[in-house]
Amino acid sequence: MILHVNTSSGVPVYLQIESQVKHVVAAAALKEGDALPSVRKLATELRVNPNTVARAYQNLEREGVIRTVPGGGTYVANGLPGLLKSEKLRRLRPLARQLAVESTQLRVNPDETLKLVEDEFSQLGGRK
Amino acid sequence: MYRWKSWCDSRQRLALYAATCLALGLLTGMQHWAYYFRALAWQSVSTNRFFEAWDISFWSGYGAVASLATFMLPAMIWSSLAFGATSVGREYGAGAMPFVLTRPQPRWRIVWDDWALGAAEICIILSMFSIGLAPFVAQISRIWLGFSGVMLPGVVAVGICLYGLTQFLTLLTGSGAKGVSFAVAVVLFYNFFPAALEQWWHVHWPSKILDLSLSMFSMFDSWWIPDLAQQWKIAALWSVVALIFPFLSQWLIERREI
Amino acid sequence: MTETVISTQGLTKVYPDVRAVDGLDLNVPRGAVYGFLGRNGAGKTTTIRTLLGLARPTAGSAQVLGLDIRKDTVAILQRTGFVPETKQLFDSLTTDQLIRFNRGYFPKWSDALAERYISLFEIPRKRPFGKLSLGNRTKVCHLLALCQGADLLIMDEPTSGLDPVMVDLLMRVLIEDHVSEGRTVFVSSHHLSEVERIADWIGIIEGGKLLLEARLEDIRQNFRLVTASGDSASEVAAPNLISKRRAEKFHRYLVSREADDFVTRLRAQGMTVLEVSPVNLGEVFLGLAGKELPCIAGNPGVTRASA
Repeated sequence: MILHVNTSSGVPVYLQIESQVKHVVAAAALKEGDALPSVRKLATELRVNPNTVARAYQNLEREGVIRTVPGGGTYVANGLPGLLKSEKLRRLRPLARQLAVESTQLRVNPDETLKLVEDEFSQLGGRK
Repeated sequence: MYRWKSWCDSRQRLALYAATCLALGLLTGMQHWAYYFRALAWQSVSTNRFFEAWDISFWSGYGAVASLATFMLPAMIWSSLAFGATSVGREYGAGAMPFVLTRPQPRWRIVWDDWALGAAEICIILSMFSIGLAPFVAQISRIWLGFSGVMLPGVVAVGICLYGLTQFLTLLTGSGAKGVSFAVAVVLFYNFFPAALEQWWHVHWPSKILDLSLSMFSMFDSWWIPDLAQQWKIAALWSVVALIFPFLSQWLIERREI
Repeated sequence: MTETVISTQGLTKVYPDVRAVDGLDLNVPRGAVYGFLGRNGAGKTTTIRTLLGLARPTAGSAQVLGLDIRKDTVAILQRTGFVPETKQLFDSLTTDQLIRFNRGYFPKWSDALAERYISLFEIPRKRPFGKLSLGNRTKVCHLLALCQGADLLIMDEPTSGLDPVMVDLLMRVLIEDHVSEGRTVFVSSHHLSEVERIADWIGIIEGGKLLLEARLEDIRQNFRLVTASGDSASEVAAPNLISKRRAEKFHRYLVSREADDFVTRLRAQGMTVLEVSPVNLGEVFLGLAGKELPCIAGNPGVTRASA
């Protein structure tokens, strides 16, 4: 898994790691059950503080993207199965609102915006 | 551990100086042995009654041991200054003092380890003369064999004193060259100032202080047989003075800030 | 509360011509990578010297690893690895000899680590230190500190003299062998980008005073730069205001948290808030310790108001 973080941007490093891991999982480059590098290994590879990686992994585990096995080892999980569909939609709504607001401001046609979203889905290779 | 580093730095010099002194001792011994035989040969063909009664063995032995003075004084000065110049103080000038002073050891250990090693090395170097000379003196005169080491305690004590002074001054100035220059200045002052005072201002020094003069090498002026007790007394006095300097260096290094 | 590995209370060091350290209150938590940042001459090296017993503090107190800096210097040095600012060791000794010299002081010395680092950093073994290049000298200094088995590493300008590849290797080694083991690293530097990668705590010192001490993630997440315009003559004061700058009508405020509340207060004073943006470490540093030059385009320039 090749990740890249930019420590000079204003974005917290752990957030960058989280979003990149989510991206990788969403693009099916890593499937459920695949192993992730340990905190120590990833921190060494990225040359960042292990606490930062640990925090990212904690957040990812809480969101159900990954899971840690008691004996050690971190693996890709398959989301939080306990989440209701309505809850999942609720989480997506702010992003949808933001997209709608931006495209209105830029005076882009809603159809064209929807096509953009479809393009992104196809680039990810469809549903995981 | 600083002792090991001092050793690394000084072992080559120790070997060189010791070998030189040993060689000089041997050469001097050989020379006087040759004189002895020649004198004996002359005596055997001599027709002079006074010369026949002359104790060649005694006087050749005396000559051999007296010649030590010619070599030991410069050797002592050279060794003391050289070892003092390369003592711990010069790490200041080299910029390595933060490293030295951040090793986990009390600061007095550094100074005393350094001093003790230097003192031991000076002892060894200065002993080499007598060691080189002794086998030859043994052939010349039994009496003088006992005295072939006679100058050692005094010379070594003064040598260690000078070494301690140079070490202190090197620590004070942070440079071996400056340490040596100041040490030489101190020695010259010490040697001439009391005489100057005596000569021009007619100040008379008590005899106890005179014992500490550098004219202890003139032991042969008044007596043909060296006064061993006097020698040891002088050596003891100088040893006490010698110890002052490492204490001064210790005080200085403990106060020093970087 | 996590134990602090370095803790100072009003630490002060005064030299005849300058107050090098002035009432410093530093706190380094155990296991942290603490970036001690400041300009040249800000007092970083003097602070470190005081902590390690190379200089005596004029006033105040400090503890390293729970030990008093005035009384327990040897015990502190036993457990602390130090990379000095001037990378100077004994000119006459080779790397192998320097290792042997240093090893004698530290029972926890690791020969295995030393071997690994020598080959990783490509350190020449048999050449005397005095004949090494600056880069190699720096590497040897690091080698001696890193293999000591120290609980705390204090590194003063660790990357000076190192090329980018070596800097990268050094960071890798620090993270893998030290930070991951829970050891504390105290890095003093003015190279922000390097510190930004691995630090989790930041302390910014200027003129001998600590201007800011915060978690780096806090800075990224909560610190905000608020740009506003207005003629408000009243002073804006708030506990979360770190610094402010002003250029005629434009004001820039650096706040440490609750930027929204601050913005509300500014608006209440009749100012127009133009932008609220996150900041990186460089901007925080310049905001606190920077000097701004007068603008060229006729603007009379900025005057910096202290927070």
